[in-house]
This record gives sequence, C-alpha cells and structure tokens, in this order.
Amino acid sequence: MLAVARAQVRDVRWLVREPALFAVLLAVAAFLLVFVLLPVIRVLAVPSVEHWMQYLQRGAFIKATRNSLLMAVLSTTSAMSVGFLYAYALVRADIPGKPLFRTVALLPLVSPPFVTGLATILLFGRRGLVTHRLLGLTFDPYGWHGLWFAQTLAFFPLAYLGVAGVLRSISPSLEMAAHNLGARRWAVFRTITVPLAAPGIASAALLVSILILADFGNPMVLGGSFYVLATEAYLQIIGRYNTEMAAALCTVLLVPALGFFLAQRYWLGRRAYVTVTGQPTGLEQRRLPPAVRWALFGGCLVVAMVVASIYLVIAVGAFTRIWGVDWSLTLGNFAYTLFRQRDLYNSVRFGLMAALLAAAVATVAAYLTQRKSFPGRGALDFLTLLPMVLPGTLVGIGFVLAFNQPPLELAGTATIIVMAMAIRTLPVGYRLAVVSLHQIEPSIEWASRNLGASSLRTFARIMLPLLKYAFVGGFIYTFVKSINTLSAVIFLVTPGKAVASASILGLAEQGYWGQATALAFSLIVVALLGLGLLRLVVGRRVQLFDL
Amino acid sequence: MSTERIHVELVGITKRFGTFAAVNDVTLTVPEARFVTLLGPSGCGKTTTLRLVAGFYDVDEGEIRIDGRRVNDVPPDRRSTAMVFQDFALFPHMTVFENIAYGLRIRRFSQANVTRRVEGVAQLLGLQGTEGKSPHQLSGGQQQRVALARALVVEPEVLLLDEPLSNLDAKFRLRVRTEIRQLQQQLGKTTIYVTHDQEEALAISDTIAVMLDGRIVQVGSPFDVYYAPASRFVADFVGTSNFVEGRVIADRDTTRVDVGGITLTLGPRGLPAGARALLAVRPEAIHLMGPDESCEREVENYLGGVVNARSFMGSRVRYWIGAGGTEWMVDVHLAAPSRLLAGEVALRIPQERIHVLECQEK
Ligand SMILES: Nc1ncnc2c1ncn2[C@@H]1O[C@H](COP(=O)(O)OP(=O)(O)OP(=O)(O)O)[C@@H](O)[C@H]1O
Ligand SMILES: [Mg+2]
Repeated sequence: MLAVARAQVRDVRWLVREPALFAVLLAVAAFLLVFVLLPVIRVLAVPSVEHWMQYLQRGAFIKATRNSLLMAVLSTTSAMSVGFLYAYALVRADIPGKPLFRTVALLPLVSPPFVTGLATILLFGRRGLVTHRLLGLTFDPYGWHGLWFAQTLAFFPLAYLGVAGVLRSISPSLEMAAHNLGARRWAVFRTITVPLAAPGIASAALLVSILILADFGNPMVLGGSFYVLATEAYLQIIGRYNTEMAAALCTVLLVPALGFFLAQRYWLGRRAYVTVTGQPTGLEQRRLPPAVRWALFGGCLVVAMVVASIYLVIAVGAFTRIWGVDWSLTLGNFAYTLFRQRDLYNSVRFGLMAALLAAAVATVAAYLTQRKSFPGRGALDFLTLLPMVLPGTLVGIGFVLAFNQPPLELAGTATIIVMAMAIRTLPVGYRLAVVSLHQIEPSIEWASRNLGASSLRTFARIMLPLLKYAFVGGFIYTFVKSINTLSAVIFLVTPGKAVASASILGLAEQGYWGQATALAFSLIVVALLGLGLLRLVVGRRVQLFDL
Repeated sequence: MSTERIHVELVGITKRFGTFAAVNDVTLTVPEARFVTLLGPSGCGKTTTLRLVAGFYDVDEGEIRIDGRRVNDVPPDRRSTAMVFQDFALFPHMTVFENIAYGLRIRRFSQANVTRRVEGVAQLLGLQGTEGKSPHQLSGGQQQRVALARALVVEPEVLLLDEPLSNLDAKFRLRVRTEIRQLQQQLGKTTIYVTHDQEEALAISDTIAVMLDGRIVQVGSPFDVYYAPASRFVADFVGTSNFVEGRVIADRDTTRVDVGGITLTLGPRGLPAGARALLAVRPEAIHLMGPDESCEREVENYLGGVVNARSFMGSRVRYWIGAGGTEWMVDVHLAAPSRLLAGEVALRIPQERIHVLECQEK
C-alpha cells in the first residue's frame, strides 16, 4: 500500500519540477474535457424518459434502428470481402499494376464519403448515364440497394488498409513452417493464415461497421425513404427542432460504438497475434499459382474500374451543363462554386486551422501519454482516441448543445466549426504521433536530460525535430479529413460560414448536379494537392493511406 | 565408409537474388544418418542453402537430390525435410500440443495416433505438462524443444536446423546442443545444421562444410577442419591461428622457412626451394617457458621473446609474445593456480604443429 503510494509520488514528481510541461498537460486536458467529453455528456443528458418512451414506441424510430443495423451488416460484409480480396492481392500476389490499384483505393479515403452516393445517382439514377442514357432504363437507385452499393465502395478502402496491415504482420516463416511440415497451399491458408489474421480482421470489420452504422452523408444522398438513425436524427433537428429526440437517437448509435471501442482497448488489442521474429532476412511467401494470381488481379481490376468510374463521373459531371438533359461541356459550374460562393475557401481555411490544432494537440498528447506518467494518463489517452468512434452526428449535436450559451457561446462562429473538425480528426493524428514516438529510443531523450536540458527544452529541441515528419503527416491527414467531414459540421454551419461538404449535400438535394460535382471535384483536387505537397516535403518518411 | 548410402546431394547449386549469388556453385553430399553442419560467417549463404534444400527457394542452377531423386521441382510440402527455424516459427494461435500435432493432422493421422505420437515425442524432449500451454507462455528453451518436437514427430527424411540455439542463453546452449546431438544419434536421423559458431560446429558435427561468400571452401570432419584448414580463412574462422609468411629454404631432407630474420624448421615436407609459404600455428601448440626454465638452445624453433600483453581466461591464459619480429598468440593451460609470466620468455614451436596453408612457387 505504502509502496504503491510512494511509487505514485515518484511518478508525478516531474509535475513539480517541470511547471511549464505541467501547464501544457493541463491545457491539453482542459481542451479534451471541454471539446470531447462535455458534448458527449450533454447529448447523454438531454433526452428525458419521455423521449426514450417515444423512441421505443414510434415505428419510425424502430425502423430507422433496424435499417441502420441492416445497412451496417450488409455493407460491412461486402466492404470487408472486397477489402480482403484487394488486400490479399496487393500484399501477397505478384500482380501488375499495384501502384495504380493503391491509388484508386486512396480516392474514397480522401474525398467526401458521400461522393460515392453522388456518383451512384449520376450513373444509375433516373437520368443516370448508365441506366437512362446507355440502357434506356428507368431505374431507382434510392433506397437500401443503392446505398449498399455506395457504402461498399466508400468503405472498402478502410477494410483493405486494415486487412493489409494484418496480412503484413504475419511472419512468412510461419506459413513456410506449415508448408515444411507437409501442408498444401489451401491447408496453410485455412489453418495458418486465416486464424492468424482473424482477430485483426474482426477488429477491422468492427471498426468499419460502426463507421457505416453512424454514417450520415450517403444515407442522406441516396437513402430516399430508407431512413437510418443518423438521417432520422438530422430530420428531428432540422425539420422538427426536436434536439432531445435527436440526442436520444445519437445515444443509440453511441452504444455499439462505445462497446467496440472498449472491446478494442481491453480485449481485441491483446488478442491480436504479434509475431515477433528475430531474423529479417527476407523469407518471402510462396508465389501463388498463376490461376489464383490472375483471378485476384481480375477481381482487383473490376473493383478499381468501378471506383475509377465513380470519380470519372464526378469529374465529367463537374464540366457538364445539365446532367441527363444537356450534355454539353461548360466551366460555368466552377464559376459558381469557386467565385460566387465562399464555401470552398471556408473549407480550406477552417481545415487548415483545424489541422494545425489537431496535429499540435495530438503530438503533445502523444508525448505526454507515451513518455510521462501522471494520474489520469489512461483517461487522457482514452479521450484523445474516443472521437474515432463517436458518430459525427453526435459530435455535431453535442456541440450545438454544449456551446450555445455563455461562458462557451460559440454557436454561429468559425471557431465551433474548426473545433468540430479538429475533434473529429484528432485520433488519427494522435496515432501517427504515437507510432513515431515508439520509433524514437527513450535513451535519446535521456541523453538530452543527462546533458542538462529541461524536459520542456528536450521536447522542443530534441523531440519536436524528430517528430516533425509525423507532425506534418498528421497535419496533412487531419486537413484532408477536415475538409471532407460532413456529419458534425452540418449542424454548425450558418449562411456566412458555410463549408463545401455541407453545401455539396444541399446542392445535390436540390438537383444542382453540375455545381455539386464541381464543388466535390474541387474538394478532391485540394485534398490531392495536400497529399502531393506532403510527398514533396517529407518524401516517403511518413506513410499515409498506405501510399 | 564407402558403403554409406548418400542421402542428400547438392550438385553445383546456385541461387541468385537479382545478380547477387547468395549460394554459388555449392556441391555437398550428406550420407544417411550423418550430422552435417554448414558453418560460416554471417551472410555467407548458410540459411539460403538450407532453404533451398527445404524448397522455400528454387535453385537457379544445379540439382538437389534426396535419396537419389531430383527434387528441384518438388514443392516444400512434398519434400519431407522438416526444419527447425531460427525464430522457431511456432504457430501462436495453437497450443503446444496442436503445434506438435500439426504435421500429423495434415497427414490425416487418426486422433489416437496423433495423441500417441505427440505424447511420445513430448516425453522424449521433456515437454510433458506443457502441452496445453500456448507458445508465448514457454521459456526460450521450451520453445526450442517444441520446434524440434514439431519437426521430429513427422519423421522427416532429413532434419534441417537453422541456428536453433541462437535464441538461447550461453549456458543453456551448451546443454541443448548436447541433447540435440544425442537425439540425432539415437534416432539416426540425417541432419543438416546451420551455425556461425565454430565451437558449436566442432562439438556437434560428423562433418563440417565451411562456407564463405556463397561457396563451400572446405568439407571435412571437425578434426580435419581444425587441424588441417584448407585456407587462411578457415584457419582463422575455426579457432584462432598465428600466421607467418616466408620463403622456403631447401635443405636436403628437411624443409625450412625463412620468415624475416628467423628460420622455422618444418621437418620433411618436400616444398620447392624459393617458394613463398604461408604457415599457421595454433596458439595452444606453442610451448612457453619462463627465463628460469631454460633448456638447451640447440633445440629447433626456439625463440627468445617478450610478453607484450596477456589475458586471463580462467582455465587458460593467452599471451601475446613479441619474438623474431612477429607477435605470437600463445595459450597456456593452467592445470593449477600458477604464476603468470611477464618480461623475458622463450617460445618453442614443435615442427609437426606448423601447418602449411599455401605454397606458391615464384
Ligand atoms: N531474399 C533475399 N533477397 C536478397 N538478398 C538476400 C535474400 N536473402 C538473403 N540474401 C542475401 O544473401 C546472402 C546470404 O544470406 P543468408 O541468409 O543465407 O546468410 P547466412 O549465412 O544465413 O547468414 P546469418 O548467419 O547472418 O544468418 C546475404 O548477403 C543476404 O543479404
Ligand atoms: Mg542465417
């Protein structure tokens, strides 16, 4: 007992000796409490028993819940299947065109997620390029089937990244050992590869499923009368001004998300098989037989072509006068989106601010949690990562609830949008920083302290320069994600403070396809420019999106 | 010895990574039930050779034969060359029992048979009681045994071991290597073993193949390799040697070599006069005498010298002695605690312990 207490005292002595760092810690903690925890608590607190009774009794809410679950199950299954195929082909098979396949898979990750929904309408809608113009059909993509298609395409890259990481972490010597003991390819795949990958793949599937469960953009664009919880919550606020009911619906979304998050932290994280091997001399996997290789190649090609056609159609739409009616080319759509509206400019400006904030907080938080001990370290880590699984709708509503009165009256300001963006993207920046920190030997820091530098000085003079690539990577990543985020900011935008992602949705709802696609196209170009800049500045030192 | 059946045969095999030949024209025969060790410095191609035998890589040139049958195109799962990996490669999602049973299950043995065999080999290797555990709950030594058990239980034609002891601590390594050798002899299993530790190779092998830069530079019994190294590299890599170079002086029936100032007598060797010779002398072959132990100066290869440095290593002492313009390493075994020498000393190099490595006529 006494020993524990003494150890704790020893752990926190640096707080007294390093007052500046202590102040930084307090600032980070305050930021997380106010902008992560408070909105969540507000959302949990507003619905009364009455609202919960309504939720249970009203058919529409039950239906939305069922729809959400159905869509999550369907789309997760298909996205994971496609993602697995893609990952297995790119990691294990010796096929041509890998860089191209990787680049194509990157597109859905750096564009607004509802772009796939938008393109689905342009391709298969009532006036769709494929259905109407080429096939002369009258086809209605609105509803669960169109949404399923769009969500599969929007989320398979995430599945691919997860599975690829898992497959790469399996030591080739394990599969070779199985071959060596007499197992054929299929037996090795069944008894070694799949069981080893299973925990990691399950974890990736859960992440994908909670993101699909809470997704807002595509159901809004493509759901039609197929309402899910996120769109139902939006309607409750925008249509009926019933914030309490919306908060209740978000809470329903939060439960599985939080469940996953806790499971990931305390159970799945430990089960994943980390294969430690001391001999890096490249033992490679056995080459797959040609039939399998070409089958995988064919599968990837089909997926890549579908994804490519999605983005092609966005690009074409941006230059087309009136989709489905007047196919002549024009620059007029850009004239409107680029010069008459400030949405794109706002997106970039707010995105840059959010990225700077998120990357800074993430780097400092990572340093504190990885290198310092203090009471509440676990909580700080938890709060920094929590936004990863928070439904965007919940963050948006939480911000509305938390910051609409003094002392934190931010409604209608740019600050609230920037904060929402920063919170949404904080976990990724944090993860990047943690990974980079793990690559820096603690002894480097000790050497600096040993030579007489204070802890803060060591951080500034030694750690920051070493972390700068991670910082730049985190900055670009959070920027790209910020300009694309929709579900949280849609509740926060006001006429003078509109951002592109929200405006695209508005334009699409009113059928202004040309302007919607032009804006989406511009947003994608900005994101790609950001990534290009990153490559230019830091080269291959930071890996984003598996490029 | 000529009646021995040849079990594994490598005939001029080459393996390139890009243009770099990691294994270069290697030829080796492994008789049945023999323990053959590939020994060489890091990066010389030992692991690659072993992986070629196991079929993990395809040879670019040459032929691999097992039981006289060409196996170049036989996939690894059909070769019956069970391997113990350097990192053990235990399947982390299986228990010890399941790990050992893996190869038997693949071969569709009945459950009863699997249990019986796994229990047998677990007993043999002292693994009873660990069967239900998961590999990461075992100590390094236990993991090593599970890897060995997993390979042995399938009764492979050939057993391949890639530095199986390198992940164990020094004390334990000695014990396990003795166990491996005893087990191999008991089972009569043809074995190819890889190590970069010369002491280990000498202790454990029937035959040692010394490798350098992808080639085999000498094959022989541990005794041959140690006492009759074929090159300066082998003499230096296996144990340590003093090297001196000089010119051969013809002298009726005995050969002498003039090594810059002093002349060493080699006895009858029949080397051509005037040739340049490279000589090697093991440090333990040289007799070291204190100034008071003077013997008659007429004796051959007797040099006066000075102790430059010495290092006490428990059972022996290594001296560095400056004598005749060269520094000689000399090992002296201490049968009992005794005084360490310093200052003026004398060396005697027995002529039969001088090994001629190279001799080139001008
Ligand atoms: N997959 C590979 N691609 C390219 N070069 C390789 C590959 N595997 C091995 N090499 C090279 O071939 C050479 C021999 O490698 P090998 O692993 O056989 O050495 P080794 O004798 O086992 O060394 P060690 O004692 O360090 O294990 C090395 O120079 C190595 O760099
Ligand atoms: Mg090796």
